[in-house]
Amino acid sequence: MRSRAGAVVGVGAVVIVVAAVVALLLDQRELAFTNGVAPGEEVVRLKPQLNACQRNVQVLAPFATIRLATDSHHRPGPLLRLTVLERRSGRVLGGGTVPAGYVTRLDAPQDQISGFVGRVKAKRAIDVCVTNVGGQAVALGGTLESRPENSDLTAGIRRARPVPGNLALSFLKPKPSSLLAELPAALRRAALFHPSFVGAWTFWVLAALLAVVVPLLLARAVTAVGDEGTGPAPPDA
Amino acid sequence: MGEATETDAEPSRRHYPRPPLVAPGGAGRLRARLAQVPPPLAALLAAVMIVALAWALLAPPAEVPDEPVHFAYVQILAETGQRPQADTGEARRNVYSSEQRLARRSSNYEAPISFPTVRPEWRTSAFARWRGRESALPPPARRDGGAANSAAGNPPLYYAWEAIAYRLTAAWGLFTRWYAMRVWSMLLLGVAVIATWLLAGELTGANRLAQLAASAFVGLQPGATAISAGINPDGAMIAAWAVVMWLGVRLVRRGLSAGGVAALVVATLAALLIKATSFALLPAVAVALAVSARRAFRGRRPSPAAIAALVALVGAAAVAVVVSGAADRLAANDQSGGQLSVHGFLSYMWQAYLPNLPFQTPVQHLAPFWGYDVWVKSGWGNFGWAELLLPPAVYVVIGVACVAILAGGALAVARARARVDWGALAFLAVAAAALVVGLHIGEYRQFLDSHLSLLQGRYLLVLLPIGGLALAGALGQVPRRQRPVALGVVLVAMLALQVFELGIVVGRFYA
Repeated sequence: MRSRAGAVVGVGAVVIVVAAVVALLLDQRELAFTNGVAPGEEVVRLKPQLNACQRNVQVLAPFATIRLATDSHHRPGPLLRLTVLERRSGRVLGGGTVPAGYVTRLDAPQDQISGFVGRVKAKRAIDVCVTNVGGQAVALGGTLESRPENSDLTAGIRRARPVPGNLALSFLKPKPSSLLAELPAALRRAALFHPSFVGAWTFWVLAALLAVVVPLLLARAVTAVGDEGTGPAPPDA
Repeated sequence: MGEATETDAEPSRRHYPRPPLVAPGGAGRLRARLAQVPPPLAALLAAVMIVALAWALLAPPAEVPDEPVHFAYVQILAETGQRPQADTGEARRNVYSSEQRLARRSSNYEAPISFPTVRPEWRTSAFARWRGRESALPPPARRDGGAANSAAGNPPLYYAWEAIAYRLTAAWGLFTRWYAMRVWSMLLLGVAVIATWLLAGELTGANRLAQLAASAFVGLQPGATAISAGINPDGAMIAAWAVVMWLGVRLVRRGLSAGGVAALVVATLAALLIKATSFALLPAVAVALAVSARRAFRGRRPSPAAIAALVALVGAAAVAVVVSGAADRLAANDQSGGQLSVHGFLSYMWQAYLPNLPFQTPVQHLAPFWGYDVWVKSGWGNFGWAELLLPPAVYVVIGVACVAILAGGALAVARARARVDWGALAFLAVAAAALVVGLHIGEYRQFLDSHLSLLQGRYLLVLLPIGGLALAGALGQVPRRQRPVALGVVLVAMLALQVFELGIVVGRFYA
């Protein structure tokens, strides 16, 4: 019976590992990176023909779609034009539109809108500009707090003026990939802002411990219980 | 407790010779002591610590509820010996030290809270930049926080414990200290596991299967692991309550002794010095003292010296609580919120767990089946700032399993009623009831005042040892030969929850 209990834990562990791999494979991820800005506050009210540019965004991975937080104030939102410019040269790297008609609120994080801008390569700095080409205003969301690591925001029509805060931007991959494929990169990111001796390897080791050693320990525990019997025994010291 | 059906003698009355120590020296004595640790407990502890370590290292800083303010509390205590100022509702200038503010801005660790599309900082260049700036900070940058924060009213014991890890790693950067404090905190989950093992041993005559089931239930419950592997006094509360439960049951079972009373009072005091919620333990501790005293003095009068000693001990504990400020927090809570009406409270309780009746005035913002939402969903499977969720069907399975475990535990008690120690049962029941009623009263008053509920499932995690006993009782209803297999299934299920929830953390913050 005790070997059966250990076997149950062993088989269960194999099932967990297989199920975890399948779940990682089925979990398709479209996020390439974000600029790390929370979308909770109205940063710019974009009136018709006005544009707002988030400057000097570091491209951490290739992307093709930009997602942004807006508030259309309970009405169908206007058509928005998105332009991606190379920071250094001002060259247009991509562009696209967000169709009119969306109804969004900043206090509903799932309400974000997105526009396809074409594939943009990684390892460069870009400016992302949003232009309101519709007939009514829309609010762009972000945070009013500035971070030293973040880029600058400007807004205007012809002469852009600095605006306090940053827009919340997410950049989506050209093609979604599974979380399994992204796991090595994810664990490298997880190792940042840790003690210097922690690296991605630490999380691979922990994963191995969870997959192999923990089930063995639990199997040993339940087997040892079987060894000692399930009846009364001397109380602990 | 179901295992009590197979106990043919009261374990507390037995005396077993202790194995002789093999070496007289300190190291040899320690080795001998460690060799006495039951193998199932040792294996379980190792497994629990590995899982907790994964939580401690994988969750980004601040992605444990209220972690930034708890870190700030520890930092000011460790750096200056002072607690943060009490929350006066004034403008919060310098809640965090300059060092913590730099870390917050550089790592972006708070931005993802409540915003599922936001991620913490992923750039290695930002990490390198933070290291450069951190190393250039002057020493006062660690000591200029400490203004009012939401944790400031908490008693200091947990923070003093965490300050040990802080001081031991003081030579390193903020994030090294942060993770060291998490690892230090998770050791308390080990304390909870050991205490639950001993608690189950007291009640079942050291039935190993019951002990393993009960302690694994505490050590592998995902909510308990996640909170214990962060900087948050709720993790310490699980350990403190488990120790109080063990010592209370031990006192009831083994009879009144000066050492037993002192241990129980000290453990209760420790719980009170961690969080004011532990005042809910006092009625149960009173029950334990009363039951054990009644059994000890049945037919004879206690000596004046014994009474004086007991009164002095309890009085000293009360003074310590007042001096520590633990009572201030309770008093502050008592003054906030609306006025309690019994009729309104009972109506609220009904609506929290059952469908509204036509004549009831609905409690604003109280979700239907609130009890399920808070105790099952929030207690078992929402992490971070209550935003990392499991698939809905999993909560249904967990809820059904919880009901089955509680029913199995109740059945075990009913079947073994002739042998059940009703004093011990009363002690545990009063502890659970006082906590649940106390939390509900607090929440009801919040609803009256602000129509908001701040109740979290994690507040109920201190009752996990009782849940573990219920699991042991439920397993006792399974045919004896099948019990290890059934326990194996439970262990696998809890491990699966842990693995998938860690996977959710990876997907949420790093992908």
